[in-house]
Amino acid sequence: MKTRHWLLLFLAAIIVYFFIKKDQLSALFSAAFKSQPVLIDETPVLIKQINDLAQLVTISFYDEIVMDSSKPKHLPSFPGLRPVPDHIVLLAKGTLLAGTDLKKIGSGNLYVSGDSVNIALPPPELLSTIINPSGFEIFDEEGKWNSIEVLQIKQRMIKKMRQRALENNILSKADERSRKILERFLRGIGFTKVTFYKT
Amino acid sequence: MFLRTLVALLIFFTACTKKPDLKEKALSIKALSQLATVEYIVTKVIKANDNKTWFKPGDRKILMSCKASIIAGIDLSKIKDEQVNVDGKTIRITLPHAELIALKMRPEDIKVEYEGVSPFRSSFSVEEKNTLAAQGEKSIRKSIDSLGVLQTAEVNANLVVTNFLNRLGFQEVIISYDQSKTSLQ
Repeated sequence: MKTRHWLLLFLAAIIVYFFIKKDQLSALFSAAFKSQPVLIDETPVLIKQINDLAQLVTISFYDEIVMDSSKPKHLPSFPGLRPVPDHIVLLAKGTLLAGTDLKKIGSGNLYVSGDSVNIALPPPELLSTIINPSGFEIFDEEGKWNSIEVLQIKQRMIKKMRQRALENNILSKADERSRKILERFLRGIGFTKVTFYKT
Repeated sequence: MFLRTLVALLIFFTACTKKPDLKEKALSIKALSQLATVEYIVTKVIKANDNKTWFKPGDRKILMSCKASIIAGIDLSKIKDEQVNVDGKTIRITLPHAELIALKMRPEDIKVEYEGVSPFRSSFSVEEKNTLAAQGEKSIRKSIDSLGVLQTAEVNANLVVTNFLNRLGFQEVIISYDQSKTSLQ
């Protein structure tokens, strides 16, 4: 009986030792059985198109969105057992750029008279919504998810981010800032009276 | 009793795993003064072969194509008052060098063209595909200098600023770039 107690005590000591030293032991073990990272091959970057822009980017809006999605598993169900659905959780970090497209200032939208200038500033726009692959994090992934399903989730996230930006009055902030920048620039080059009006 | 203590100890040591916290962070709004003057649309093939791990039999291959948009321009907030000189209908202006404003890779522009998986291997997960696309993004970012995006952005900035100043009544517009800093490497 005593031997059994000592044996159990010894076993407990080994287990406790394992948990204390588990980091070192697991590091040794995982080094031997570590999967090599999959790296992409060097391929050229090809230019498809070059577009001339004249966009005044005045506001950047950073946001983070979490979205999850579930779908039933395509497995035969057993009576009394409910299969756990496939589940995915994505985290997206992105930036929205807003401002004014100066190309839209037509010939009739700018009047100069002496040291006064009147400009019809085009309405502010969401110029870019940027969530790159490096901005997406797959936080949890259970089951099989095809490219179309994942794309749909990502597009919903982008839509939500744009919505949140609009709810935060990004456009009016961008418009206000565009006016401020242009006014400062125009005053800097000698105009004393700068007026903005709506088309 | 002894066995119970042992089980309790085991539960204590194994149950102490911290659950990660997943929350949407607060939004942040930043004021900018950038004049975007060029957009390059570029494409790249993302090619990877997962056959480097010794204990995994067989291999997995993937071929993806992606399209990205590179936007560059100048930062108007860097123009100092002394860098603008007006003399009648002539204006001299020193612009800051062009810089990258944004690199955009839309999810719909990343496509899996081919995926080959050996019988003993599992197909690429969503996370793995995303990691490969992120490597592609990094590679495009690295190639910006060699594509001449910033040079084109400066040429276009010349045109945009000259055109705008001409419309404001200036007959001669002389544009130079800030020599103190060189962004084009």
